[in-house]
Amino acid sequence: MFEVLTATFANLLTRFLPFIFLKKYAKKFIFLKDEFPVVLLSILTLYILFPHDIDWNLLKYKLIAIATTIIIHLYFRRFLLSIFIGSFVYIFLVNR
Amino acid sequence: MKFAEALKDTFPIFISYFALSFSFGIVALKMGLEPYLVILMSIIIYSGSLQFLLITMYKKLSLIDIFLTSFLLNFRQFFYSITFLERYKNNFYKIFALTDETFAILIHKKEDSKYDLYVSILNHLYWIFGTICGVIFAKSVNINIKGLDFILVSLFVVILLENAINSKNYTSIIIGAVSFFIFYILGLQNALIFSILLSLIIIIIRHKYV
Repeated sequence: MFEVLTATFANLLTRFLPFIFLKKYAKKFIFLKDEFPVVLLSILTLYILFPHDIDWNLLKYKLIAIATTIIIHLYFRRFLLSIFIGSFVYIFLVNR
Repeated sequence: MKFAEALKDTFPIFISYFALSFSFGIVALKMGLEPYLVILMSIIIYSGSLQFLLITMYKKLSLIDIFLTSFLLNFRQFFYSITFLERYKNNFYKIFALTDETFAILIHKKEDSKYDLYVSILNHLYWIFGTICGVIFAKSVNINIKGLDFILVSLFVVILLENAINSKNYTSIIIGAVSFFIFYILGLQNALIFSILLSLIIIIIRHKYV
């Protein structure tokens, strides 16, 4: 429960900060706009992929599924399609 | 009339929100979270990537780590809010409901306080509705499939790819990967936060001196 409330509060802050602070002050952070999301997302993706209790046997299936996701996404650029085909490939591989 | 227009414009969002939140409901329940908590998350957090990330961090990370990671993950919403400062003034609900998809619809439309509100409410309802359906589905059908939670990985891979392509920022992926693996190999307790801080420092230095 506290985890959910903490995340809720953090999330609300990102949406409300510009309204709390002055616009001029908020604009100082604009330079982070392009680079930071990409850096952070790559860290988080790796963080999900390499947990502390990682099962190295499953990693090869994960990499195959990720490669599939990327190829499908570069080809079709359809958000849902890429996510579900990628997940389907992984689910298929581990349940064989 | 405004409502009908909002309903029509948000239909594509309905499809994608429903599919994602439905999967979220199932995966969250499979991970052992209480149904009320799962639905509550969709009501008060209302952010797909954060909710998926949260259920994997649940009970593994400290509250401070969760706070920082959540804040930084959704930092992009900060920029949406800046864009809508004048349009939204101090409407609490509309600011709260400004997700990627709502932003994407409204940014192409002229300001219209009723229409803006309808789009925000409809999208939020789609998200909650999908979650409830997912929870009910997971409760009633006994699914025993391994690897369902991989949807989180593919979700993040696709968001990362989209962000990198749109901002033409491929070096950032490498900065992130290096920051991650340095602390991963060291095996520190708070590896995640340290990697994020390191990458922030690299970005600021690059911005100032390169």
